[in-house]
Amino acid sequence: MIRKGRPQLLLLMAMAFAMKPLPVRADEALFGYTTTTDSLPEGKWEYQQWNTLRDGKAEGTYTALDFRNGVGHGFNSAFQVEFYLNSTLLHTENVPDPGNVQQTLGNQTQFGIDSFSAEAKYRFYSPYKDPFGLSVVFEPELGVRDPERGLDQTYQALNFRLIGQKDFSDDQWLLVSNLDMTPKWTVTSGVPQKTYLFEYLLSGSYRFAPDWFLGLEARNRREFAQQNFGSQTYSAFYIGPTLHYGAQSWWATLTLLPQIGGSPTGLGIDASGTPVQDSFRTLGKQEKFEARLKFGINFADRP
Amino acid sequence: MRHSTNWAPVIAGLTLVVPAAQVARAEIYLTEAQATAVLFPKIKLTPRFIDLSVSQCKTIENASDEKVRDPHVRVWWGRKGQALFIDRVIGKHDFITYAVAVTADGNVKGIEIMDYRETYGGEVRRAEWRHQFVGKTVRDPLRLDHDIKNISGATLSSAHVTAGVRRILATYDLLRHQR
Repeated sequence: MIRKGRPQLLLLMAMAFAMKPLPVRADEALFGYTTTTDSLPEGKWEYQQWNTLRDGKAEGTYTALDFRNGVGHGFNSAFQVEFYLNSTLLHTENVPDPGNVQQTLGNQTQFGIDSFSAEAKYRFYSPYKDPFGLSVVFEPELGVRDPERGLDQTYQALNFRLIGQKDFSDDQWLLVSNLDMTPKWTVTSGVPQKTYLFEYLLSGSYRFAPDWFLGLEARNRREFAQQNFGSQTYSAFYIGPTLHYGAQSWWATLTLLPQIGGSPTGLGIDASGTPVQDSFRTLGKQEKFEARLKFGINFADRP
Repeated sequence: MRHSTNWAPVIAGLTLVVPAAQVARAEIYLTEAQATAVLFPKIKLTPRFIDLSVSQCKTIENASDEKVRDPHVRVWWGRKGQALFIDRVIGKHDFITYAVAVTADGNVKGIEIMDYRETYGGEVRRAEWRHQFVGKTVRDPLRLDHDIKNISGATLSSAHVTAGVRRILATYDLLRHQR
């Protein structure tokens, strides 16, 4: 069943317009995929919109646009909570099903709400006054749709993220590391599955002009079947540039992230007897290319 | 089951939110003349801008534990050795320009934030935060969370202004013997 996304989107848009944006700058995302240790100041609100393009499989046409709309609040100077509504617009034509390449995902162009999640972030150390920054994130997620295949699916996931940050040269340079672990439990057509999703990100950025940051993000993403670290489903490596602009009351970040390698490169034999494979990438549950445009507005009382 | 969905609401969601944003504007609060009048209202000051030598920069850096990014020092001197420095430090996105008034015996008389583009964290302009610097000398730690309070949500700005004042006091300490 497809959930109608329009009312939810309109509601979020209405919220964005109803709240008058006033200048605030904490917690703006300098990276598309990597999280910094910054958090919202106490009592402040923000709205974020993430738009992620995932494109290209071993065969057929595959384009997915993931939309993540979030509203966050800072409870004190070190703790914030953000609520996200996650949805996907998916277009597939003759793409092998990564779960069984003997069949395809079917030809579809559909939009649907995938999940709802709540993210709690706590900062232990600030990179601006301590030798390094350290934050942790906990994000439980409840899902009703598989954003990769467009199938009805119920799932629960618990994302844990450890964030380390080191700033250099009066905070003009920063180096950020994220370690992500997500146990996930899914039920698709009555069939239960459990996995671990693992991500490691290492990124750097430089303030090359007032309001502008340019950087590089590197990501390794892995999945383990049956929540067993001995049963790796795939490992994919991505690297790409990131550009950030921060104005007084809003910010935007664009990251381009092509997959530069992965395993397994071969996914099996399709129904016509042809191997489904790529020369250096893994293209079952991952794509050839990702790009993410993030946009945020912060709401605060003028100090 | 799958069926087609109209893309229009999604595209609308992307395109409508972005233009709602406001364009950044710099906030200039005080000119040089105004800062001078506020910090040394009854004293005649004479400008004497100085280009620090490499060795002078090193001396200041050693004394303040803060890098000298610009060797060009903009300072106005009073007859008895009072000084007013106009300096800038890096904010999260742009420079913060501020003035530091130093008495003849090397105490901070006051500081003023002249130009602040990081609009959140504007609490650095508040009198109670700036008043923490009054009476500080080159011998004081001038460290965030030690003798200077942090500002929630503007840690970077408050840390950099604090470090800037520490560097200015070390600069004054060096220059007053060379006047």
